[in-house]
Amino acid sequence: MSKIRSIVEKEITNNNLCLDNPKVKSLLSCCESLTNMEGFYVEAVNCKINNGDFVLMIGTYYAEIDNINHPIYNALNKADKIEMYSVDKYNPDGAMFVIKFIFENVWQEVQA
Amino acid sequence: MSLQNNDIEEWLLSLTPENGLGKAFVDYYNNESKKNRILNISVAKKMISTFERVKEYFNDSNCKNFKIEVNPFDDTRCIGVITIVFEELNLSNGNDFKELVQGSSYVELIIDGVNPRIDIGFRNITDELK
Repeated sequence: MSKIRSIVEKEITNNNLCLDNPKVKSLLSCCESLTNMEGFYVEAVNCKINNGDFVLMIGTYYAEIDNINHPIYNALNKADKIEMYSVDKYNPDGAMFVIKFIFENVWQEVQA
Repeated sequence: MSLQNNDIEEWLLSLTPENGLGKAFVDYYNNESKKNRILNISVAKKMISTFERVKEYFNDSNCKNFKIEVNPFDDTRCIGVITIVFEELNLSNGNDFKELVQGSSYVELIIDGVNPRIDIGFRNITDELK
């Protein structure tokens, strides 16, 4: 199992989210797309549930997306919202490029 | 199309009414020292349309303090680059990003100093003049 997926699955388990939840399926599919991407180096992974939204964050110092069919687009398309910015709290040596994948209302999906 | 086609200048300028990127292309034509190379029109067209699309997207968005820089020609590598420097980039979905960079050869996400940036590259923007 990939590092990204294992971290995400731990959060899913801790929050008793059902694997049949459509948003969870999208989340796990996103994790698969993020794994083993050429030219894309995921240095840090974090995730949390915030106000009912599942937020997956990956950090990279440099990424090259070499064509329009790159797997990163599959990952981006799974999320409801994308945010990109730099942070330095994960890395004492300098800023990191962070992509935040937001899967909205995972709790609502559970209730449905 | 060729360098000698006078319609190219007018066409390029018409694509960028504010003479932004189009002006840079025209300046390229007018630079005598670079006449050993020819602009690849199809790649230039992709770069201009991407530039216009990125500019429109960011002007309509709530992204903070973004700026767009253009390096129309890197003669060493024959690459044109559109750079977006931003503090925070919010996209409503992944398709937004894919559409923004459509037509480019590659995209680089780069941390360089404080602000992150996205380089949208267009390979083979120039060819050797035969």
